[in-house]
Amino acid sequence: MADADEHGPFDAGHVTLAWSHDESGGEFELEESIDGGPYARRYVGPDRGAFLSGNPDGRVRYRVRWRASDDRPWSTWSTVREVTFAHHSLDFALALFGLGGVVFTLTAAFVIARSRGDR
Amino acid sequence: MTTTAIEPTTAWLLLGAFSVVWVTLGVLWGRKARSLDGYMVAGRNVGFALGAATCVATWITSNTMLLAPQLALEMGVWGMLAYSTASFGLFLFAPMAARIRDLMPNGYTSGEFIRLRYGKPAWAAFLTISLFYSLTWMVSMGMAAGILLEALAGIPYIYGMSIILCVCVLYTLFGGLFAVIGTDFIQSWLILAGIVCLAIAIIVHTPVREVHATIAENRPALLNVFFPAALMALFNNLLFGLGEIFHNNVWWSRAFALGKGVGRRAFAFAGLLWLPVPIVAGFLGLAAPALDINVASADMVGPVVAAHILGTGGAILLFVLVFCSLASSIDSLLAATSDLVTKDIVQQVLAPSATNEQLRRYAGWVVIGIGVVTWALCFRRISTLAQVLFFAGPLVGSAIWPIIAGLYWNKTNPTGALLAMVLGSASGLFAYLEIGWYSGALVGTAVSMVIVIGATWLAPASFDWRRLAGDTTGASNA
Repeated sequence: MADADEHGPFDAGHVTLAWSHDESGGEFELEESIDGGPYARRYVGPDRGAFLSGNPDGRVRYRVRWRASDDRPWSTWSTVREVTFAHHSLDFALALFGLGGVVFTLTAAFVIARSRGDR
Repeated sequence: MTTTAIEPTTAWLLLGAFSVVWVTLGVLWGRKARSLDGYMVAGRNVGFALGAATCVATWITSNTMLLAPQLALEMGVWGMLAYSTASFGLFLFAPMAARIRDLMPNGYTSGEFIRLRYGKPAWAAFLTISLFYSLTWMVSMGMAAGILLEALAGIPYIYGMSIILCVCVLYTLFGGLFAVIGTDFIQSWLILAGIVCLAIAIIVHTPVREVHATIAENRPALLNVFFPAALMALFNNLLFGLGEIFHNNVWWSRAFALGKGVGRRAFAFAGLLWLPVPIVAGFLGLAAPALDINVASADMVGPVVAAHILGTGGAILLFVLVFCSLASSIDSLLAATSDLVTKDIVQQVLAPSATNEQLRRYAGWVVIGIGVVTWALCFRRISTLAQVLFFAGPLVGSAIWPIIAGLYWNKTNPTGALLAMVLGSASGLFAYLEIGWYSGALVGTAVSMVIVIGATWLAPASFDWRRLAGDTTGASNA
C-alpha cells in the first residue's frame, strides 16, 4: 500500500510530499483535490516524492497509488492527506517589504555617501 | 530514479582529471606562498583581472546553482530576482574594499578590524557569528558536492563529498591564497562559459511564453506580484547577501590582497558579471512546470531540469560547472577561515608570541582541521540546503551596521556595536523561527541598524583611525 507524508511550511504555498512502497520499482500516481473538488492527476512516474509550489490559499487533498508495471492493476488509494495552504497576511508582508526597503536604502546610501568623501 | 545523466566512468574520469589539475597548480603556486603575507594575502598586489575573477568565481557557489532555481520554484519570479540581488553586496563592498585597504595596509582579517575598532567583547561576538556562518556555508557546499555528484553521475554521496573537500583542502594547504586566486581565475572562465551555454540552451528549449502560460494555469501564485512570502524574501535575501560579504573574511582577505586602487573596480566588475547568473539558473526552476518535470526535492530542481533540457552533454557541462563553482568557493572559504582562526584565535589567544613562520605552519594545520570538521558535519545530510544556509542569515545581517559604521564613523562606540550584533542576531533568529527563513536577516539587520545609529547618537565615541593602521600582528588592544 502506498503512503503519503507531507512537510510544511504551508504559509508559502508549497508542500513536499513523500511516499513509499514495500516493493522497489513500479510507478506511482498522485492525485489532488482542491477545496473539495474532483480529484485530478498531478503526477505519474517512478519518483517517490513531489515538491508542489505556487498554491493559492485553500484546502488540498492528496492521495497516491502504485502499480508494478503498465500491465498490472493499480493498488487501492493511500490514506488521504489534507494540507491547508494559508499564506501570510499581505499587510504583514508589505510591512516587512517596506521595512526591508528602508533598511536597504539607508545602508546603501550610507556606504555610497561616506565613500564619496573617501575618494 | 535508477538511471543517471552521466555514466559513472565518465564522471570519475572528470573528477580525477580536475582533482589532479587543481592540486598540481596548488603545489606549483605554493612556491610563492612561503611567507605569511604570501600565504594569507597573496603578496598584497593582485591585479584587476585576477581580482575580479576570484570575486566572481567565489560568489558563484553551488548555492547559486542550486538555491536560485529552488527559490524560483518556491516563490516564482520574485524568488529568482531575490537571489540575483546578492550582487548588490559586491557593488557596495567595492568602495568599502578601497577604504579597508587604506585604513589597514598591513591587515589580514575582518576579525582584526573588529578587535582594533571595538575591543574584545565585540570581537568575541563577531568571531562567533563569522565562524558559525563560515561553517554553515562550508557544510552547505560540501553537502551540495555529494548530492550533485550522486544525482548526476551516481557517485555515492559520501565519496563525492569527501573527494571535493579533500582536493580543495590539498591545494589550499599547499598554495594558500596564491593557489586560491590562480585556480579561481581558471574556474571563473569555465563557469562563465558554462553559464552562457546553459542560457542559450534554455532559450532554445523552453520558450518564455510557454513557461508563462503553464505557470499561470497550474501555479498561479508564482506569478503573483503580491505573493506574501516572496515579498518578504526579496529584501531578506538582499540584506543576507550584504551581510555575507560585508562581514566575512573571504572578502576582506581579497580587499587586503588586491593591489592599491584595484579593489573598487574589481568588486564592481565582479558584481556586474555575477548579476545575470542567478537569473539564468533560476529560470531552470520556473521551467520545471512547463516541461512537466516532477521535482521530488526542491533543492535538486536545477540539476534535474538542466539534465532534462541538455541531455548527457548538458549534464557533463553542468558537472564541470558545479565542480568549478564548488571548488572556487570552498577553497576561498577554507583559506579565509584559516586566516581568521590563525590570526584571531591562535595568535591572539593560544600562541601570542608565535613568529610569522610559525603562524604560516599553524595556518596549514588549521586548513586541515577545518576540512575535517566540515567533512564530519557533512557526513550526515542534516537538512535541506536552504535551511542550513539561511539559519545564518540573522547573524550576518546583524553584523552589517557594526561593520559599515565602524569603517566610516569614528563616533560609533563598542557597546553599541556589541549590542547590535547580539540583539540583532537574537531578534532575527526569533523571526526566522516564528515567521519563516525569509524574514530572519531582514529583522536582524533592522534591529542592529537602529541600535548602532541610536548608540552612536546617544554616546558618541572618538576613535583614532590610525590605530587600525598600526600593529596588526599581535598586540592586544582591548
